[in-house]
Amino acid sequence: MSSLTTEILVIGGGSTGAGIARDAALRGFKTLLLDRADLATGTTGRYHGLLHSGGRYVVKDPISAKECIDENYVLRRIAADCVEDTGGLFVETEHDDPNYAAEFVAGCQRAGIPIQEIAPGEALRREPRLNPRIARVFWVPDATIDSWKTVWANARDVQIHGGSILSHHKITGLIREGDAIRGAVALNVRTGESITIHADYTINASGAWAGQIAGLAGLPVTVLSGKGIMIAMNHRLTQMVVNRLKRPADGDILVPIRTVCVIGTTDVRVADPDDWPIEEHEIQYMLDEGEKLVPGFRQARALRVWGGVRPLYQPPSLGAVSDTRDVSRTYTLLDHTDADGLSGFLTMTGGKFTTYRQMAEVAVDAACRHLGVERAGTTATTALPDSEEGRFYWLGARLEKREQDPHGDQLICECEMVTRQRIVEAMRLRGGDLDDIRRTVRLGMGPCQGGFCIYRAAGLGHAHAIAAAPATNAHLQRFVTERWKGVQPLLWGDQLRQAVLDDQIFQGLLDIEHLPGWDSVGSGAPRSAGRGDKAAVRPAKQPSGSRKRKTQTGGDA
Amino acid sequence: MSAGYDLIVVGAGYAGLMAALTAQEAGRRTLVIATGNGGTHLRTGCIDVLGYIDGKRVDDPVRAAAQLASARPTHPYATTGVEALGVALLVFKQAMARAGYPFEGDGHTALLLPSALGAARPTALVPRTMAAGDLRRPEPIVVVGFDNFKDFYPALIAENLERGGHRARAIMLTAPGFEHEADLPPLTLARAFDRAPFRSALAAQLGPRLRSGERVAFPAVLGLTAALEALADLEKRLGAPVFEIPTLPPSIPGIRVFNAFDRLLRAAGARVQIGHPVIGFKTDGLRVTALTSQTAARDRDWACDAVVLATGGVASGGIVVDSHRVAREVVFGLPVVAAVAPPETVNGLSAPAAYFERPTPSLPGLAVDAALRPLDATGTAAYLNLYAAGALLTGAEPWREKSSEGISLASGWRAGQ
Repeated sequence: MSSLTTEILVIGGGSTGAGIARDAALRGFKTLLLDRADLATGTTGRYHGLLHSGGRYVVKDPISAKECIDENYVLRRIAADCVEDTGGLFVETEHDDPNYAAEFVAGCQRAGIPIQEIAPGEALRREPRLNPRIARVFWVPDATIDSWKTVWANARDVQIHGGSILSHHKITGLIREGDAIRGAVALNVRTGESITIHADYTINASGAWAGQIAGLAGLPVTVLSGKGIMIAMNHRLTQMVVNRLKRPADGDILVPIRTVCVIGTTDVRVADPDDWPIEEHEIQYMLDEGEKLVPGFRQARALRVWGGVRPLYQPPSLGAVSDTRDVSRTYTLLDHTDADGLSGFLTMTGGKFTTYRQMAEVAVDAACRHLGVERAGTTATTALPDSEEGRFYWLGARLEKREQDPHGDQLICECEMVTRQRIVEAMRLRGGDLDDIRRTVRLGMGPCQGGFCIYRAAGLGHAHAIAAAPATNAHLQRFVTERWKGVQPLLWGDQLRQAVLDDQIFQGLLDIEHLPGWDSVGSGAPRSAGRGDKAAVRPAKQPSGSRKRKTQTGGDA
Repeated sequence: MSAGYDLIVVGAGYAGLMAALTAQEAGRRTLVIATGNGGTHLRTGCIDVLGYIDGKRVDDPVRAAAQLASARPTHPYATTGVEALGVALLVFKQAMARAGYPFEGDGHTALLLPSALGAARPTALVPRTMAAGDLRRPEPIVVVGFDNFKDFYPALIAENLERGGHRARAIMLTAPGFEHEADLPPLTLARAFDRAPFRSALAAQLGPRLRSGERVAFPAVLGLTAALEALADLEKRLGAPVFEIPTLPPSIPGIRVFNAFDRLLRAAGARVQIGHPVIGFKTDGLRVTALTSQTAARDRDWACDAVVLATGGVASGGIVVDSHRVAREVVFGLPVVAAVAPPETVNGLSAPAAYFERPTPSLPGLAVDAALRPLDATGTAAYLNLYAAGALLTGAEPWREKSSEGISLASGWRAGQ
């Protein structure tokens, strides 16, 4: 068994874990960030992309609201390249209680959220697709943020500051010496090898899975999983985030992010963060609520449905919780030294993407205190890589770049304007797994859902010796299977038409099912691994009976 | 209105064009009216009849279609009859030969052509431009691609062919004369192949790199209007058999098929109107007497004795499904069967519906009587002179079993009778 030594080990490569690792690395700690899958494939990568102003929580959850507005300002400064400054609206429709507005205004004042009431006519001029029967409208500093890009920027900064990233490693045990945790043992899920990681301090940032990790140290930590589903529509029905002016409920936010807009979400408690359903009635409910915000919503093209699980910490004092909507969105630091007498270990869970940086700072502050060192955090003022100039992302960025040299490079994914050079660069860094590349450059996330571009990307990976044919074939099959999962529940309208065209391309034209080396239809991995693949081949599907495989797969933003 | 048509065909894919040609050449005044181009422009340009039954590759497509028709009475081949299939293939072959775009194959032998991934793809009739690609032939294959054309990856095709037991290698070139254009559209490349100087420059680059006894594969862009000439010229210049491998839409070979049909139809006196959706119809009792189409300036009525509906099902918008999963046939509002039933739940994280293992998809379509007339809600012909053809017919898995063009030609030929 090989071993590694680090000062701080961070378990969980979502926004919180990546933020903690960056915070620690910036304070000069030798840091290791570990995840059981690729970074940002759990809750972070399955989120709608709303950078909250806090307005959503001012009445019900004022502590979280204050955290949100503070961090909204911070992230605009340090993660500008990941943020689009869309602004947001809270709109009172004929379905909403007119008395809520006063509570909302008072709550925003208390939390320090700047708002501005605008006339419904002016709101409709800015957002012509909005329900014309809105009675009151408030502008808030909501924005949208690309969660993958943010996590990758954090991870890159960890590496720049001497830390390292270990993806696809699952924690199998914590190393306990007396009353202290001194690291962990992890399994490389791709090679099956185990590795021992010796660490001065271990931070559990595994979100909805934090109870499982803490359980390895015998600590009873209860983190509830609140499932939310989201549907991406094929274009931006609004250019600003739109919230219903009411207490947070299902299907009441519409988030324009990159080329799509996302309606969300639900909140249903699930027992297992790795095994939960997306149900037809939930989808229909989202569409009905969408109609209330944007009439004709059902006629718009729905691209893909997915879900994620929020980590919601339940203090033992609260007892049983019936509705996860009622659990606070604030974060919780569980200092196991103080609470459980177990040193070298803490858990940071709960919270929101918007507050990840603050969570990270609080966690590393606590670690410093226990390690007896005094090093101030700098993440609130230090810009992430590529955000140094403070320029926000904007929707036309890729088009602008393309127009500077329209014939210089190939557009491999037309929907998302991804060029050949961008894909090959991403593959050189991350290997040929097309689903990993999708999350890196948004390949295949537009209306065609990979129908055209994924053949091209597979061919490029092969042509540039990133993956040999057997691995390329397996990547293709895995990608097609992944996409089908999100498309299958939405087979109506133009997306049904698209799905039939994609079938025609994958099966009718390319005959992807009958590539040499596949044992039979759906068997997944090829018989032999050929000349290998820089990113090891993951079978598209595990042997029968593996429906509950514990591997995360990516969602959409 | 000057005079009515004996037959109006709605839709200009394989089924509609076949129905129109059959009727017009039988001496009936025929009008083709369509919202846009059909499946020709999207598919391989080959005539698939039946490639697989229950995942097993078939050797004799027409015979296998007969077996399928008797085993599965809901399959479109059971309705069209396999005799119609045999005749339709013959009529199609003769028509394409007359139009100067000959096909090879007899329908009773599965031809195996490389796909753009290097899979051995079974089909029944292939244009001459693809004939030398039959994988049952022994010559080693050189797959040639262009680094300024993004829809074709020769090294991947060659490696997969090798792994399938065929000798193959790859050569990547830059399309001569386009060195400063990284992103060539297939039509631009096809028009370049129509020109002798382009072919000459290409052969000068490629010729020295060929070994004797090899055959040469290109992406299916070997000429838009002069494909046969381009093929013969390249074979002469390279001294090797040359063939095309179909790749992503738009399909150049399919466009050639459409153009061939279009030439034949116009030569025989039929009228072809693309870009004019049918938005209404008139009836007299149980007979359709006229269709209304949308033209640039006004709506226009076209009187007719009979109508063939070949609007292509969901893929082409002939049938639409709304977000409540209610399906609707768009021209006549005919009842639709086998609407898409949504899964009640799918698992959010673990792979719920392996794409390759899903059960037979029940794409919405029309139920028809033995004469291919769509049924109304009571199960009898909705109109006495309305016939349906092609992908509107439900009951097939066209992409998985590779039966799309065979069903379209057989039902189109029947409906055009």
